[in-house]
Amino acid sequence: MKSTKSFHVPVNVRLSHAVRPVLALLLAIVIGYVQGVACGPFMPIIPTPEFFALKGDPRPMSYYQRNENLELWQAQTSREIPLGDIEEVVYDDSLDSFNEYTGRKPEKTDNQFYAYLNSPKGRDAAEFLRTAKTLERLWAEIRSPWYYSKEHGTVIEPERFNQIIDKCRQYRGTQMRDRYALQITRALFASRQYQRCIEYSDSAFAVIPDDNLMKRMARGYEAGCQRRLGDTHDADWYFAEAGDIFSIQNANPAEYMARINPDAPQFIDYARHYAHDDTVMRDIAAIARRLVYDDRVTCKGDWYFMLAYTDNEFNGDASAAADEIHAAMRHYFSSSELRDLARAYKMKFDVRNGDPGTLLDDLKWLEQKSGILNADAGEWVRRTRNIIYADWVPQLWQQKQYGLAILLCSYADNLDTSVWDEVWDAPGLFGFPVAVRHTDFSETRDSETLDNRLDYGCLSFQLMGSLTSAQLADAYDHIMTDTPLNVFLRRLARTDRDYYNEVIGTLALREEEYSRAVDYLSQVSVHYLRTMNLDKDGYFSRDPFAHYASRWYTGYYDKEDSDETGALQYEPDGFDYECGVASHRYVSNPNAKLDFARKMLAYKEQMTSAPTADERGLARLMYAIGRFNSFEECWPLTQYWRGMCDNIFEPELQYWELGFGSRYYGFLYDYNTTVGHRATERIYNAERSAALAMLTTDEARAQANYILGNLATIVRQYPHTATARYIHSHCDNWRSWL
Amino acid sequence: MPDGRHEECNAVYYWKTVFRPDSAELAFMRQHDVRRIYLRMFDVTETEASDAGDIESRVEPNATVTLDEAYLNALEDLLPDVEFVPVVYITLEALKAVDGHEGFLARNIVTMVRNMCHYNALPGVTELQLDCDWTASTENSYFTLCDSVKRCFKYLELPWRLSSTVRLHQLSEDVPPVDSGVLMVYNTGDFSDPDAENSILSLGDVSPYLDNLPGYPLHLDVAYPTYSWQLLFRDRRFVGLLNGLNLEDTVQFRRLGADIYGSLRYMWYTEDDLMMTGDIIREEQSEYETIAAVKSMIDKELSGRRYSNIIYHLDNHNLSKYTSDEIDEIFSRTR
Repeated sequence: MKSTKSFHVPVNVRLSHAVRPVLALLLAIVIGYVQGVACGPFMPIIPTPEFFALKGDPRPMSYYQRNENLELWQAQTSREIPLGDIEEVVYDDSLDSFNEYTGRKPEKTDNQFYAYLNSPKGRDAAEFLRTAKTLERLWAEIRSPWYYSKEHGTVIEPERFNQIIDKCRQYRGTQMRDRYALQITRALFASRQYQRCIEYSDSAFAVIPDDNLMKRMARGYEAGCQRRLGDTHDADWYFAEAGDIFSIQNANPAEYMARINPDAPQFIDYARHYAHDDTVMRDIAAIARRLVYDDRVTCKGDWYFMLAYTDNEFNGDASAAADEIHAAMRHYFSSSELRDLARAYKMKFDVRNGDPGTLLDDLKWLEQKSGILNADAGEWVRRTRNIIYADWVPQLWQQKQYGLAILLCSYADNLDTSVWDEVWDAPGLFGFPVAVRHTDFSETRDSETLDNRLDYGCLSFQLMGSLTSAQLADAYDHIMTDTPLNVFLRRLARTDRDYYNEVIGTLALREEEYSRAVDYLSQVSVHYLRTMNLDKDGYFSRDPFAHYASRWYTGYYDKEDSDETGALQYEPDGFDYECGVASHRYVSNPNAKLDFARKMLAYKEQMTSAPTADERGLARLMYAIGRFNSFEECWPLTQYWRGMCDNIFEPELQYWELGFGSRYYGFLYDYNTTVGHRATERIYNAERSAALAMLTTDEARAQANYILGNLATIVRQYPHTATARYIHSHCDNWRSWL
Repeated sequence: MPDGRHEECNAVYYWKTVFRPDSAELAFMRQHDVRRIYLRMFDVTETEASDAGDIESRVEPNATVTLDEAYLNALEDLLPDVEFVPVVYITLEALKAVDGHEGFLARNIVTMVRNMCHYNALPGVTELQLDCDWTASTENSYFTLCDSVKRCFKYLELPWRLSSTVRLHQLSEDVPPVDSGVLMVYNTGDFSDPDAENSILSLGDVSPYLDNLPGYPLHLDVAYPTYSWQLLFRDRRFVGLLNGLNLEDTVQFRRLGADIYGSLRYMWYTEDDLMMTGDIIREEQSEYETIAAVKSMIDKELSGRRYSNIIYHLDNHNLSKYTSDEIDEIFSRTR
C-alpha cells in the first residue's frame, strides 16, 4: 500500500529563461504517501417498484366488502357519522367493549356511532350488532387452538349456535332483515350445518336483490358449504358469484370468472397476483381483450391497464401498451389505487413521443403521493425514480434533449436527500468512522471535510460527464431557462453554477480545449472546489508535468497489454497504483485543474512562438507529458473516477434485466472504452519523440532527459552539460544511476 | 376412584401423542395391577407471536394426545377399575409468556381438559395434574396458575383435585398450592453435560435433595424412570436426542466407553438432521439397580407416609428390559 519516490531537483542548473519555469514545476513532486481510493459512482441501481402487481398474499374477501358495508351502515343510520367511527364499532371493538359502551359506560366513548346506537332510534342496530358480535366470539372460540368439542356429533356447539339463530329469527323489522339472514347463514356455517345453511340462505335471500351486499356475502358461505359437501361444481358457481376467484377449483378460474362474474373487483386482483407470471398474464390478457368490450364490466380501466402491462412487460409491444394505457385512463377503475398506478405507468410511455406535455402535472402529482404523510411514500419515490431513470432519461438522451434529461435526472437523484443523508464522522481508532449522524444534506454539500456521496455519485453527474463541454454548456443554458417545468425541477435538482462550470471545465480539459477550460474553471469558487471529494481525498496532489516511470493501473486491460501467450506484459501491484494518485505528501491543490489548463496553454503557446527550437521542443515535451498525465497518472484532471471499478457504472434495474444498462445507458462516458490508455500512450510516445527530435543542443537534450528521469543517459552522453554537472554534485541516490 | 379421594395404587405415566397401549402394555398393567394412568393431554408452549400484546396468541396447546373413543370403550372392559389423571405439561417459556395473565391460561387449560375428558368419556377422572419445571423466579406465576385452576374447578363445578409434579430441586422451595404432588425422580442430572455419567437417574444427584423430603408438607407420590435415551454431542456440545439407533452397528459406530459411542461416518438420523463423523453418542438407561437404590432411600425418607409409586413411562420396549419382580419391586410400598 505504500509507494515512496524521491527526486532531487538541480535548482542551480543554468538554464534558459524558457526552460527554467519548466524545471521549477518539478518542485511539485511526490514524496511519501497518503492513502485514498478512487471511488466513482457505484453502479446506479434503478428501483423496480410494482406498477401493477398486488403486494403480498391475496386480499381476504372481507377487504372488498368492508368499505361497502361501512357505507351501508352509514346510509342506514346517519350520514353525519364518520366511517371511521362506524368501523371502530363494527369491526374493531370486542363484544365486551361493545356491551360496555352500549350499557354501563356509554360516556366513556366519544364515538358518534355509539352515540347513535345508544339513542332510541339506534336500538335495532345495537341489538343486531350485539348478536353479531356474540356469534363472532363463539366462532372465534371454536377456531381457537384451545377449542375441543365437548360433545360428539357433526354439529359444533349446537345449543349455543341455535340460541343465536333463534335470536336472529325473532327479528320482525325490515331494515336489518338481510343482516340477520346473513348472521343465521354464518351461524349455520360455523356450526357445520352445511346443508341447512344452503337451504336457509337460498330461501332467506330469494326475495332479496342479487346486488345486495349481505346476499353476496352469504354466497361465499354457501360456496363453502357446497365445497364441504363435496359439490365442487356448485361451490365454484357460488364462489364466482361471491367474487372469491381464489377459491374456484375450475381448471381455468379466470375464464370461469369472466363467464359468471366479470365485474368482481377480486378478478383484477387475481391478475395482479400473477403479475410476474408471463404465461398466466398472457392467458388472462386473452380474456381481458374480451372484457374491455363486455357490457357487464364497469371498470374497463382495470383491464386496459392489465393489457398495457402485459403487452409492455411480456409481449415487448410498447406501442400497443401506450394505446392501451391511454384507453385505460379514459375508463373507470375499480379502485383509486389502480387508477393511480395506471397514471404512473402511463408516464413511462409519455416520453416516447418526445413531448413533456403532462410531465409537470404528473410530477407534481407524484410529489404529493410521495409526501411524508403517505404511508406508501417510499414506494412512490421509487416509482418516480423508475419512471425517470428507466424511461425518461434514456429516451430524452436519444432525442438529444440533454438539458431536460440531466435536470430531470438530478431532480430524481435529489428526491429524498433528507432521508438518506447520513454523515460518518467522529473518527475513532486509525481514523475509521465510529459514529453516524443524520444531518441536513446541505451541511454535507457545503462541507470541506464530509464525504459527499450524492452529488458525485449520482446518475445525473454521470450524464453531465458524458457530454462534450460545449454540449453541457448548452444544456446548462437550457436548464436555467425559466420554464414552469424547469422551475419545478430546479427546486430539488442541483443546478448551481460552480457545480456545472467545474464539470464543463473538466470536459474541456478532456478535449484539450484549455482556453475554454480556463474560462469555466476560473469561474469556480475555491470553496466549492474544496467541497469536492477529489480535493478532500487528496487527488489533486500530484504534479501533472512530472514524468512517471510506471504505468497507471486500474485492472482494465486490452489485448495489446498481453504478449502472444496472453500473459500481461507488466504486473503492477494493483492497489498501490489505484491509491497512487492520492499518495502524495503535498497538500491537494483545489485549483489544480485551472493551474494545469493555464500551463498547458502556456506550453502550447511556447511550442509555436518560443524563439529557439530547443525551447519549442522542451515545451512540446512538457505538453506531451502534461496531456498524458492528465488522463493517466493525474487522471482526476480529466476524470471523476478511475480504478478497479471501471466499466461497471452502467445503471441497472434492481430486478436484473439482461442487457438493460448497455441498451439504455450505453452512451455514458467511460474512459477505457472511449479513449483508453493505449491510445493515450501512443499519442504521448509520438509527441515525445517529435519533441526530442526538435532539440538542437546537448544542453537541451540533457534537460529533456532530466525531465524524463534518464540521469544515467545524461552523465554518459552529455557529461559536459550543466545538467550533468549538477547531477554529479547533487544526486546521491545510487538507484537513480542504474 | 368414585369417592374422589386420592388413594395409593400402582400407576404409570402415558407420555405418547396417541393413546393406544399395545397388548403387551395392557398385559403389563393387568399383571401389575396398575390402577391409575397419568395421561399427558397436551403441552402448553409459547407461540411465535409470544411477544404479541394479545395474550390469547402468546401460548397454545401443542402435541395434543389423540384418543380413540372405540379403543377407550374397549379399554374399560380390559381395565375396568383404572382411573385417568390428565396431565398438562407447561413449558417454562409458556409460563413466562403469560406472566400476569395466569387466569387466562388456567381457564383455557381446564376447559380444554374437561372437554377432552367429556368428549372421550375418559373414565374415573377426579384429578388434573400440572407439570412444570418452575423455578424461584417463576414460582409466583406458577402458584398463581395453580390457584386459578382451582378456582376454575369451582366455577365449572368440576369435583377435581389439582396435583403438580415436584422436581427434586423444588423440594427446597415453597410448596405449590395444590392438593398433592408427584415427586419426579428422573432427569436428575444435566443431560446436556457431556461429562454427566447418567442424567436420567443417579444416586449422587438424588441424595442431596432428600433431606427436605420427610418434612415436605404435601402428599407426594413418587415417579421412577424406566426409559432410556441416546444423547448426541458434537464438539462437547449437546446436539439432540436420538431415538433407537443401533449402536452395535460397527460400520457406523465405535464403542469408546461403557455407554459412549463415536460416529464413524455421517448419517441422517432424522429427515433434517445430520450426524457427523466424530460425533459422540451417550446412551443412558434407567438401571434397575440404581432405581432400587434410590427407591430404598426415598422409601426410608417417606416411611410412615402413604404414597404411590409411578412408572415413567408406559412403553413396552423399555419395560421389557425389567423382570416382573423388578417392576413389582418398583411399585412396592412400605409403610
